[in-house]
This record gives sequence, structure tokens and C-alpha cells, in this order.
Amino acid sequence: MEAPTTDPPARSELSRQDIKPPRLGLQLRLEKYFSKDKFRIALDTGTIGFFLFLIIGPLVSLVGTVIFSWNGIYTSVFDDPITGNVQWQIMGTVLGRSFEIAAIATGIDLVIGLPMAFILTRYEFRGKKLLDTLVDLPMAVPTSALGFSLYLFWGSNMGISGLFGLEQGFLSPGPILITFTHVAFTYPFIVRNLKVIFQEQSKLYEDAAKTLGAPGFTVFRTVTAPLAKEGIIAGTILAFTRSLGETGATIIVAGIFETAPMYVVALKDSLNFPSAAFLSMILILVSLVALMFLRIFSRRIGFPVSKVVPKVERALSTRPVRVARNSIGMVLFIIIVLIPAMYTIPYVIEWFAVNPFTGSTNNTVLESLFAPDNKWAWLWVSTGNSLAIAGISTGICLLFGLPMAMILVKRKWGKMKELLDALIDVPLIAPTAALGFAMYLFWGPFGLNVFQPGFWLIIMVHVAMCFPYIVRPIIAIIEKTDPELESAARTLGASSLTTFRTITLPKMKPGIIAGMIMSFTRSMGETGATIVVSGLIRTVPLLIVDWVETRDLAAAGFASVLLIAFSFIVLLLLRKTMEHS
Amino acid sequence: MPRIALENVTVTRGGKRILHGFSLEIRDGEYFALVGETGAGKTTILNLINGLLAPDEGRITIAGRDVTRSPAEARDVGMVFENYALFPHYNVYKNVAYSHRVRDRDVTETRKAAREILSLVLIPNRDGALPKELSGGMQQRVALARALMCESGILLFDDPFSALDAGLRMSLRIELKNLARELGTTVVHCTNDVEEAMMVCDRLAVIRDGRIAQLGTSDEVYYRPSDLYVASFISDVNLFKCSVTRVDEEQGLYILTHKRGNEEETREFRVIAQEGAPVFNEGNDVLLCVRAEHFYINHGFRKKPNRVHGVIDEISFLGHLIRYEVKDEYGKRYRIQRFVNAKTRYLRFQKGETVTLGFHYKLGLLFACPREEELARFENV
Amino acid sequence: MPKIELLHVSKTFDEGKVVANDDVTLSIEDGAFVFLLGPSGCGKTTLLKLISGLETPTSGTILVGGIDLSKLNPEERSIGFVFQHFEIFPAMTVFENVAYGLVVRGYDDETIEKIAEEALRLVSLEGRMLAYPKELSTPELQKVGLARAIATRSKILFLDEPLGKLDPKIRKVFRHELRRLIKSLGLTAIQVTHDQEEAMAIGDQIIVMRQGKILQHGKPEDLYYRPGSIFVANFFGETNFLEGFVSGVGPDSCVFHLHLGGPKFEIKLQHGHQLKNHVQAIIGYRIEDVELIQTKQEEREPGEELDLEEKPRLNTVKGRVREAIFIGPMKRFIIDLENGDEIQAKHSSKFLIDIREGDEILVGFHENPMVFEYPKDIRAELSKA
Repeated sequence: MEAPTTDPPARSELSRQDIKPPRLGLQLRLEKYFSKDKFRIALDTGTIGFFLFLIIGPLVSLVGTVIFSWNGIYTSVFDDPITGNVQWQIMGTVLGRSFEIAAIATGIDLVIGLPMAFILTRYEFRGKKLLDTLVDLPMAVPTSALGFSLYLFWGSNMGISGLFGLEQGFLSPGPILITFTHVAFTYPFIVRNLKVIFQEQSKLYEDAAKTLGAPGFTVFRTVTAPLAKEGIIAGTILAFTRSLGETGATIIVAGIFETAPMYVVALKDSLNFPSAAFLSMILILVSLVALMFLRIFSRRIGFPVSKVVPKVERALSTRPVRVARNSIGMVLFIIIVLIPAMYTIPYVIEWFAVNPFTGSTNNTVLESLFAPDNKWAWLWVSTGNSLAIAGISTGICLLFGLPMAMILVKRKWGKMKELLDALIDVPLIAPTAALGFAMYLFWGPFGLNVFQPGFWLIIMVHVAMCFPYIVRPIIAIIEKTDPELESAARTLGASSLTTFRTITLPKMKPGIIAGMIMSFTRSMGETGATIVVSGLIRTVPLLIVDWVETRDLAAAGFASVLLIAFSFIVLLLLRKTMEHS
Repeated sequence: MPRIALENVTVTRGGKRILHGFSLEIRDGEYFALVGETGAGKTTILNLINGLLAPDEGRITIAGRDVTRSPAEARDVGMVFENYALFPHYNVYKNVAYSHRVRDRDVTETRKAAREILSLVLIPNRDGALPKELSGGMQQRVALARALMCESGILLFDDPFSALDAGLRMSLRIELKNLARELGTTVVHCTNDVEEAMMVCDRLAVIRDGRIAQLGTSDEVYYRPSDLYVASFISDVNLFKCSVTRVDEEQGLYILTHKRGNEEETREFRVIAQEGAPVFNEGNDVLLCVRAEHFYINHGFRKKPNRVHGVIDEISFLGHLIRYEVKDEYGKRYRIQRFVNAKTRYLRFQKGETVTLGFHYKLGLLFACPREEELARFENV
Repeated sequence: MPKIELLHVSKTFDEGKVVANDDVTLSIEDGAFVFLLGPSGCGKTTLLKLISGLETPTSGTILVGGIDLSKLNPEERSIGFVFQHFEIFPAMTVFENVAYGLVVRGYDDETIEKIAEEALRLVSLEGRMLAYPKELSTPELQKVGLARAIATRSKILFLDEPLGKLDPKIRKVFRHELRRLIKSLGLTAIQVTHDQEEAMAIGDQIIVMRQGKILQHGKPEDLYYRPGSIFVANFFGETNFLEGFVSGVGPDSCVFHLHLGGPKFEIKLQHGHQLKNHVQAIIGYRIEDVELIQTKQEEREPGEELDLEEKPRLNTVKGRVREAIFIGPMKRFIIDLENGDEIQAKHSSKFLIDIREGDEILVGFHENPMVFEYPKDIRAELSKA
């Protein structure tokens, strides 16, 4: 800054008095006008109203149904004149099974996911980007396609058992296969969460610990893990609730066994609404309790870390152990997650035109698709449905998600905001089938009677489902953005709306795009809730479920690959936008 | 035997060479300062010593033992990080006791050692407090205590005062130095503030672009800077591009002529070069460098060797110092820094006053005339 | 014209639990360059934010040029703000950043270009107009922040530690350029800093704050030579404080006893002092004012001619040099006095006095120290927080 050694020239633009500020142009004037408090309040109120209608309404209606038809529920669940409390016993069994599966799957995920997250954040190596993409891959695979893929790999004679020349599937559909499916399905959630936490955590603390003499394992146990505690707990609970509520993939691999969300669907299909409401409420309550636990207690839980066992920990920090840990994490990822999740693709290629065993065209993709029942047409109709639903619901989500994100970051409403913040996550963790059922009760013929099962009700359900996927990334990016940037714009003369348009919005763009893509893929792949409210409309995931049930495996495979391909493209787009931000 | 030695160390990161063939020896028990601009490579040197970074080439020894490939946790070198890096989830005591706990030292002994060190660094009894509950100065002390628990007798400081208020810095510097001396600790202290380095160190190295520009005591670096960079890094300098008219071999006196712009007028300087300066002959171009604080300032206009004249253009008051900027008739600016105390407080000059500046013939620094690009960093030579 | 006045302004956070500004009344003249100084968390930055409208005061009135600002949004107040972390809009080029304040005011392109270019020229960044912030060095970012604030042509400029992120060496050069720029544009400026030296070097006035209150407001030299409290004396420059009691208090002099029966100082007092006989008191000497006297005569550097009309009388105490530290232009001494007090002294290393560690010397204290009544809580006064 070589400042002028003499006074600035007399005609300095900066000190000229005759430049009068001009009249504002239309856009700036409108922005200034709408920056007034009353408009902000109106927008806030509208957004919150919409949100409450969307989320709270269905939940209230669910609880209402349970309370008002308690007598009916009591009779049918606990005291049926014919079957006694057999209904309750079944519920107990399916709930127990769901919990067991969720717990085991989450446990396995944590064990094989931790080393992977660590590898992805603390090491530099060639092909890291590729590995990173591969880890995220199962997330891009819609759940019913994933379920189908796993069924093919583990459960049919066309998968791994073919490798050993077995006639039967390696695992028959049932709890074990469900667990495997859930491991593959929640794995990317866990790794992603852990990755973000490790990335954000300053490496400085680990460096400090090393200079103080702590070997690698001790550093992890005493510094990295306790600091990442909240994130680890959050990731675990998220994975647990997702597993608990998963329907789409589970239906395909469950065989004769049922899980709790599947039972909700079954009850609804048999028109036993009171019992379905009762079970839904239990499932949602469990998720809510998990959410509360996450928000209130995770900060207070300590890690039991007082005692150090130097010999053991030093041994655990040695190179061979480290290498072993990393390779086991990697191998398990490939065997349990990656290959099974992607297995449909080779299957479809193999079975495309000819049956690889007999050489005939029996059961091939082509034959199955162009069979007289016109699956080909169904496939494209439902693809159109899926795209339209995903597009419209993402649009609605964005419309209300943007102001919602702003409210959650900027407004200083204390407790009230905390509650709102917690409610946003409800659709994220509530079992989809239960939530879908709640929304059916609220909007459907037994509630407000606004939407019949079908296109628009599916959209309402998807809006609720995708809302957190839009809001969370936007919040994350606003929170990371320095609020002083906006202060700077204000002191430079921009009204609050002008500031929003010129400073805040461009900053949020990657978050918005990421959120939109997440929401779009989520909607494309959603199965559990859609089944409940679909009526006669078919989306691609539903089609897969249908076709698996009618044993049209080749057609289901083709639909899966279509869905996977589509989701994968979207995932690539997502990564691109993330990298640009 | 040096306590710490880096021999021919090369570090490359992301295709950028940070250190190249770097060698440094630090003696046992000395307080050594590394001073240089941001990005000169100081922190890299510290990370080589504590083992957070392994060199691409070269050897590092601590007390004669080759530690080049040994990991940080095996070296036991204490480090105070720039932002302290106190473990946020541990209280003061657990932070301080950490290095003993991870080695599973006896609990009572650990407690005793921690107690002793905490009282040494003057932390009142706040064992249970979390780092975020402490003031900046207090956090700094806890970080120091934690580093002192390392038993190698080596302490590294990475700009330990940068997060503190100026006033607090001053008192902590002296405290730190006394503490290190009392404990006989070998200290390597990084900073970008020369004054801080000189205040604490026994010896210092000026680092520039991953090389040592000069290594020596404060005295040597100040009075016998190895080059123009070091001279100007340490304090404000005034430069004169001169040619040698005569050399008085007997006294070692150089008689220099400074040309003024396009004018015929010349100015004469008589200077005894600093020790270690290159030898110049008649007709050579040299660069004369006079520190701002080595100019004295007087009323009036007296034409003599080693004098320049000008008008005071700017005055800034710094308490114990006053800085003047003087502009001569050709627009060349001189920086003068005067020490002020109760005795000299009343001798003041006003803006616009014509003054004579002069310097003692033993206080001029002579350098070979550097390349133009190098000179371009300075205004009006 | 922009005279800034604050009347009983208070600001609390967290429902009154945290007091950032406590009944601040203040007046800043048009065209003054004022520094806000104080320990971290004393409410300096909050004060700037209150005036610029980024925070709303809990109570009190803020006037600029006689106009009450409370009804105005920050964008309507026309106060330039240079932020601590610069807050350069990352998605815009340097030019777009600087032009921003004009664009949102709806100026036409031609005017915007002219003004923004001039602002950039003033900070010598005209060559980097099309660069993006991430391509710039820290000093360049700092300049963009400055150019952006002055381009709005507001007559008031606030600077929140604008130089805090720069290396000390660059900082010293920049601060003078900053002052020249502000003065040449005739701005009224308030700068927050934690660097006392910077405030003294370029400020017209300095305001020292502590715990949300203003302790002292005045010219740098007034604050340095006539600090109103022990805290200010200690926070601002380096001071040796000696404890003792006074006797023989007259209108303009007294005797200060370092210890009962110990060394006695004859010192002068300001007129109108409130000191009473036989009470505890504290006197302060700037560390550069402490004289170290050897048996051999002090050599004065040739050419330095001091025309002192009368040499102030000295009170002397015996002492021993514990430490002598060479800091380039300065030498610093730590001395144990015979009464057990520890003091520091600082001298130009140009006076070639040869005092070494372990020397027995006489320590001279002049007769015009700062005199303070003994405070209720001496530790709080001497803490720098």
C-alpha cells in the first residue's frame, strides 16, 4: 500500500461532494422494501406453519388414532376373542427381531467402518478418491435395488454359491441375510459421518499427543475418539434407526420372516389400521427417544479412558497391527459391502439375452421384460412417475427448506428453536413405513381426506422424508460461513435482502445443490413409505419389489441396474459440486 | 556434543522445497531462537526435531543418538504449539499429566511431578478447570507445564506468544527465559518478532526461505549482520548507494561518496566497516546501511561528513521511543528512531523543522551492492 | 459533519449476564483518528458494532453529526468497516469486492468504475483488480478490505484490528500508510487494536477500555505520561511500581518511604493532589526512566548534545544487576534493589554504558514519578486482563 505522499488530486472521486447517491433501481428498491421486519416475520411464520403441518400433523394424527381407537387396539392386539394376544406376541417378535438386526448390523458397521474412515482421512495414497467414491456407492443404490442385489449374491444360486458350485443359495432369505443387507446399507452412513468428524477435528491435538509420547493407538483412544465422541454416537444412532426402519430392501431379503416396519405394511394392507397405528407409534417413539438421547445425553457420556496399558497399546500401535487392521477393514468392505451391493450388474449382463446355464432364452432379461404382461411399458411409466415425484418433492422441499435453514441458523429463539431443530431430524430417523402410515392417516380418507393414496400423497410423504436432506447441508454451509461476511455487506450499504442475494445465496449454492441431489436420490429410491401410500401408482423401487415377489428376477435386475445407473450419475454430480465448493 | 543436530536435511512438501540441505546444531542447555518471516520454514524445523515430520534426506540426532526415523512418541520432546493445542476434553491436571499417563508412570509420582511443574509455572490451583475456562495467558502456562513434563530436557516453542496481548507478552518472555535457565532446559523458540527472539535467546538464527541467513548471538547479528536482508530484518535501515573514494588502510576507514540524483552535488561518508564485512577497494560500489536508531538528530544545518539534512515530515510517539521521518530536498526519506526518557524527553522536534542527521563512523554497515531486484524491496536508496 | 457521540450506551448479552458495554459516554470530534485499546473481552469491538448498527444497544443513544442512529439499519448509516478477518467476499474479484458498496447503492457503471479504481489505486492494488481473494496474500487482502470500505465514500471508517494478521515487520510499515490514507481522505476513524505501540504511533487520541467501561480518553502522550490509574500505567508502556507510604505531604511535594526506615525519595506532586500524610501509596517509573549509575562516568555518544536546562534531581538506591539483556537497539536490565524490590530498566544500546550482570550500581529515580493512592485490590489493578 504505497499511500500517496502528497494529498490526493483535487478531482478525487473519493472526496468529490457533487456525486449524489442515485435513486435505487427497481430490484434494489424492491429488496430494500421487502427487507422490512414484517415480511421476514411473515416468511418465518409461513415456513414454520408448513413444517408443522408436514411433520407434526401426521404424528398427532397417529397418536390420535391410537388414543381414540384404543379399545379396538386393545381388543385386536391384546385380547382378541379368537386368537388372544397373538397379535401382541407377533409384534413383540418382529420388534425384537428388528432391534437385534439393527444392533448387530450397526456393531459390524462400526467395527469395519472406523478403520475405513481413519484411512480415508489420515492417510494419503493413490486411489484414495476412488476408494472414497466406492465407499459412498451403496448409498447411491436405492434400497430395494440393494436388497435385490444382496439377495442375488448371498441368497440365490446365481451368486456366491455358484462360485462353489452349490445348488442352493449360500444364505436363505431370513434374519441373517437381512443383517447382511443392513450392514451394506448403513455402512456408508457410518463411514461418511465418521469421516466428516475426523476431517474437521484438528490434527494438531493428535500431534500434541504424539510429542507427549503417546503411541498411535493411545492417541486415538485418548484424544481422537473422545473428541469425536458426539459424532461417533450420532453416526451410530443414525445408522441404528435407519436399520430399524428399513423396509424396501428388507422386504426382498426377508423371506418368510418379518421385521417391524414390514409388519406395519402388512397390517395396513390387511386394513387393520388401529394395530398398524399402534406399531407405528411404538417405532416412531423408539426413534424419538434415540433422537432425544442423541441431543441431550451424547455430550455427557464419558469415554472410559483413565487407565493406560502401555505394553498392549504400544503393541497395538506397531506397524504390522496397523497394516492388519487396515487390510481387514478394506477386505471386509469389499466382501460384505461393495461386491454384494453391485452384484446385480454382472448378473444382468450375464442374463441379458441368453440363460448362461441352458443357452435358452428362458428367464433372461429380454424375455422377461417383453413378456405379454408388458413389463417394459410398466418400467417406463414408473420411471416417469419416479422422476416426476422426485422432481416435484425436491422443489417443494427447497422452497420451504431454504427459509427453514435460515431460521435455524439466524434466529435467536432459544429453546423454541432447539425444538424445531430436533423436529427437522424426525423424518431422518423415523422408520419410513411408520411415517408413511402416519401421513396416510393424516392426509388420507380417514384424516383430512385431502389426498388419496397415489401420486400426490406419495409426493407429500417424500417431501417430509427429504426435508432434512435439503435443510441439513444448507445449515452446515451457513454455519461454516463467516457471519461477519454479511456484516461487511451491511456496512457497505446492502439491505438485508440484497445481502442475502449477493452474499449468502452464492455461498449456499453448493449446499443447496448437494441437498437437492441428496433429496432427489432419496426420493428416487424410497420404498418403505411409498408402499404404504402408493395406491395404484408404481415407482421403480416398488416395481422391483413386485417383480421379486412374482419371481421375475431378470426384470427386477434390469430395473435395479437402471436405478443404480441413474443414482450413480447423480452421486457423481454430487461429488463434483462438493469439490467445487 | 550438540544436544540437537540437523545434518543436511531436505524437506519437500507438495513439490515445494521447504528446507534444502539444512544443517543446525543446538548446544546443550542453550536457549535458541529461530526467527524469520511467516513461511520461512521455522515450524518445519521444529517438527523435524519433535518427530512429527520425517525428512526426505539428511540426519537428525538428539544427544548423539540418531532419531531420524524414530516417531514423535519415542522422542519425548516437549512442544508448546502456537494455539497451545490443549486437549479440550481434559482438565488442566489431565492435560499436564498426559505424557506420564500414556507411559503408565506411577500415579503418585506423576501427581508429584505435575504438582511441582504447575507451581513452577505459577498456575494457581485450578486442576479441575477445562482449557476453555482459562484466560489466554493461563492456557499458555498450562501448555508450557504440559511440555515441561517431557523428560528429554528439550522444549520447543512455536510462536508461543502470538495469541496474547502485547503487555502480557513482555512479562511472560522474561519469565520463560528464567524458567528455562533454572531448569537447564534446551529450548528452541520460533517467532517472527526479532525483539522477542533477542530478548529470550542465547543464540539465534535468522531463517530465510528455508536457509539460515545468519546464526549467532543477538550482539553479533545486530552489529555484524551477514547481509542486507538480516540487517533490514532486525530493524529499520536507511540505505545509501555509494562508491569508495579512498581507503585509509591504517585505521580501516573507508571514505565513501554518495551521489545525489542527477545533481553534481555529492555527500561524503566516513565509515569503519563492521567486522566480517567484505573488503572493498577504491572505485567499488558499496551499499551503506545506517540503522534508524543509529542516527542522531540535531537542530540546524551543518555540513560535515556523515551528515544528512532534511525536514521532519512525520513524527510518531511510541512512549520510550520517538520515530521521525525526515525528507531531504530530493525527496529521499530517512527513518530515525530516538530513545526517550525523563532526561531527554524535553528535546523534541516539530514537524516541518529543518534538522541535521548524523551517525557515528563505527555504526555504519557496509555491504557489497546487491542486485537491483533485491534493492527494489527498499524505497529510495 | 460526523461528530460521533455516545450517551450512556450499554450493551448486555445473554439476558444481562454478560456486560459488554457499561454506560459508555463518549464524544469523538470530526476528523479524529481514535484508537480503542484494552484487554481482550473489554468490549472494544462491541462498541464499534453498536455504532455501525451491527448490534443494537440495550440502552443509551448514539448520535452521528447530531442525528440519532437508533432507527437506522447498518446499511443506512454509511460507516465504513474494515474487519479483523477482512471478510473479503470470496466469490467476487478484487474489483467486484471494492465496487460492492457502490453497486448496492445503485450507482451507474461509469461512476462505479471511476471510484473503485481510485480506491484501488490508493492502496496500490490497481494491478490485481481481476484477481480472486484466494490468490491474494494476507497483506493484499488487508488492502482490499480497506479499499472496499473507503470506496463507499462514507466519512467514518471503523477498523477492527486491521493489522493484527500481519507479520510485525510489515505491520510497522503499514500502519503509517494507513494513517496517511485516512488523513488524506479527511475521515473520522476509530480503530480497535491490542497493540499499544501501534495506537501511540498513529493515533490522535486513545481510549483505554476495561470491563466495558472507558478508563481514560486522551492524546497518546497524555496517557503515557499522565495515566489516570495504575491499570492504565501498567497496560500502556512498561512501568516499575514501588510500594511505600508518604510523609511530609505539601501542596507540591512529599517524601516517599520505600520501607519504614528504608530508602526515602523526595518527589514532586501535581497540584490539586488528594494525597494525605502517612498513608500507603504507590509510585511508578517508566522503565526507561530508571537511571543506572556506575562509578565511572557514563560515556555519551559523540554528536548527541543534550541541552537540558536543569537536570532533575535524583533519588538513588543501591542495587545489583541480575540480568542484562541485549535486544538490538535496546538493552534491558533486571535489577534487585537493596530493599528487596525487583525493578527493570531499559536503555538505548547506543549509549555505550558497560553495565554487566552482577555489577553493583546505584539506581537513580527522578523526582517526578506517577503517584497513585493505594488501591483496594492491587492485584486486579496490576493484572493486564
